[in-house]
Amino acid sequence: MSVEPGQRYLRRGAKAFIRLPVLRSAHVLRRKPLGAAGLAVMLALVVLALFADQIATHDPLGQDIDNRLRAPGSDFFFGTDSFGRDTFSRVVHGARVSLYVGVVSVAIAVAAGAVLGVASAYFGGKLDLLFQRFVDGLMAFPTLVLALVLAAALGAAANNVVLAIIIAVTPQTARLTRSSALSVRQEMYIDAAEAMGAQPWRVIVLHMLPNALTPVVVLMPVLLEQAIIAEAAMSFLGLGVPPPEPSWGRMLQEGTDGYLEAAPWLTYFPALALTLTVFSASMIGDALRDILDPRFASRSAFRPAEVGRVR
Amino acid sequence: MPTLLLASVVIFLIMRAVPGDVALVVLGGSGESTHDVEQIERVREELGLNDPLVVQYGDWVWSLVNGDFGGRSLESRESIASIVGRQFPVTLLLTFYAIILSVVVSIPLGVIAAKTQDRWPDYLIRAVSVAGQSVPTFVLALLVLLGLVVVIEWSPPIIYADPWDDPIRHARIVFLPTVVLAVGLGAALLRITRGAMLEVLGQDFIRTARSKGLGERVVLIRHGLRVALLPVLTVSGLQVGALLGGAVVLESIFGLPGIGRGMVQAVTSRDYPVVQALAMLIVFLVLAINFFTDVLYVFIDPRISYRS
Repeated sequence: MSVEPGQRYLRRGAKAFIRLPVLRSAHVLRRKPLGAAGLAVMLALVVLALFADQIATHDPLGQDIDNRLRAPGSDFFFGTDSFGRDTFSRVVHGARVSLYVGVVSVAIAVAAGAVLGVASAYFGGKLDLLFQRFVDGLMAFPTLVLALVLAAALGAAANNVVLAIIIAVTPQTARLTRSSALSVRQEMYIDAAEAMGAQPWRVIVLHMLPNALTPVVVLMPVLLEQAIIAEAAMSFLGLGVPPPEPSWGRMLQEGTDGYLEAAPWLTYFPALALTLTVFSASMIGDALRDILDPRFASRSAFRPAEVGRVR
Repeated sequence: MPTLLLASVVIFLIMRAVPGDVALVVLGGSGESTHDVEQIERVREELGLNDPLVVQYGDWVWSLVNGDFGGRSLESRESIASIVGRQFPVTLLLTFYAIILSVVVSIPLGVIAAKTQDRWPDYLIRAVSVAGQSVPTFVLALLVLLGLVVVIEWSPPIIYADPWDDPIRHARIVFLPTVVLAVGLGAALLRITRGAMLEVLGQDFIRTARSKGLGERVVLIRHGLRVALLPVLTVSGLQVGALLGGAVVLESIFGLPGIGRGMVQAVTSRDYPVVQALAMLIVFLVLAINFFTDVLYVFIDPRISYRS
């Protein structure tokens, strides 16, 4: 063993990830037009989120008493709200909130679920049993209900929303990783590695993780969709990202609370943004599943990714 | 049943992990200085907060079993049992209507789509299904409200009525949330029915049935759909959690006084005994519906039996 093995494994892991078929196949575009469209929308959202300050025409928080409740027009593309804040700029900045919550919570939930799931499968026995029963308990909750309860316990703040969603989603990733790790554990190369005297963590990180991750990768867009809807729903209910940060969910709440008739643009632009985001994530998920997991090609009846999705 | 117990542990632990002193929340104080130590101590004693964690948990589970649901609301002092009695039927009815509606509409549509594969009815049905799955339930609800208010200037009644008191008013207020809630589940069911039917229709026994000279309707429904219903059932069981998650938000939007809205209000006011009890009820409902789908398997597939 060299001095810094961890780093080397990390690099190898990264290489294995890049070699995933989906990332190198250029003909995906032709075979999966809807998936490609979803990817394009998602990339556009990422650009919106990253360059929100440059793209927004106004300050998303800036109040302008003279321009309250303006209809959409050339000055205010999507109109203004009751404080005179520019809806277009707020929608653009809302992409940042949505993607931040979505990406961070899914990334951490996948990482945590992967480690917990693989460890549970590797060690088996009582630890596995205990852990999986706990996961059962968590999975009995609708994601949104669990996130709401957690939000109640943690208090309203952007990062508490992230934490709540992580805890609500991790059981799914842990369960999925475990089941695929269990089948990987049967493989000859695991026995070979152990016979060569490999430490448990080496077997887990180097051999089991990369081979057990495909189903989780397939699930990631669906989880992203879940997380983004959960954040929007929580913010809509006043239990998510606190004001004045522009979140699509809270914009919807503000727009429908008394302004439905007078200023419908306050509702339909955030609704459109949210729907487009969810739609693109679900299209990416469908395409990814068909490509990586041919057993569940689009004709197939059963769609495991559907499990427990928040609506 | 064991899952229910585990879920109760989860809920209990989460609520106990609430930062800050619950006794202070109960007294409604902003800082410790506003209440004397004695008062705080009394509230703690009353809520059993001084007991060991295991004892508190035992007390709570026992109160769930004997129908006490953990005492009273911190906010309104109303007993939780009466809150549950008032709110639970609303949610139960709403989810029941939504499940019935989505099954009645989407399974026939799924069969039609499979029958007319790659022709215009199929495309139309698939497009509707994809759209239905892409719009989050609560966004759809808002858009429907917006559409109604702006286009035909109609808004649904605000005050809820029980079906046994005033069936017409009940129907009018429950109609929209039912439809909106059914869309998400229905779109998923539709898609799976179509997929399962396509799979089944390609199989030999269907050709045999046709060659025996059976009518198309008999082939499709008695031979095809019966087999295709199994995956449909599996997925609908899995969708129930999502359905109830949607119901929570919908109740808040449409002002239905069910446990979903009750929970959101309790979460907002940090009324933790109520949050605990209602969250448990939602889990109970999920598991009960799942149990029910498991029982349905036996009726659809004679090969499955729970007697071993």
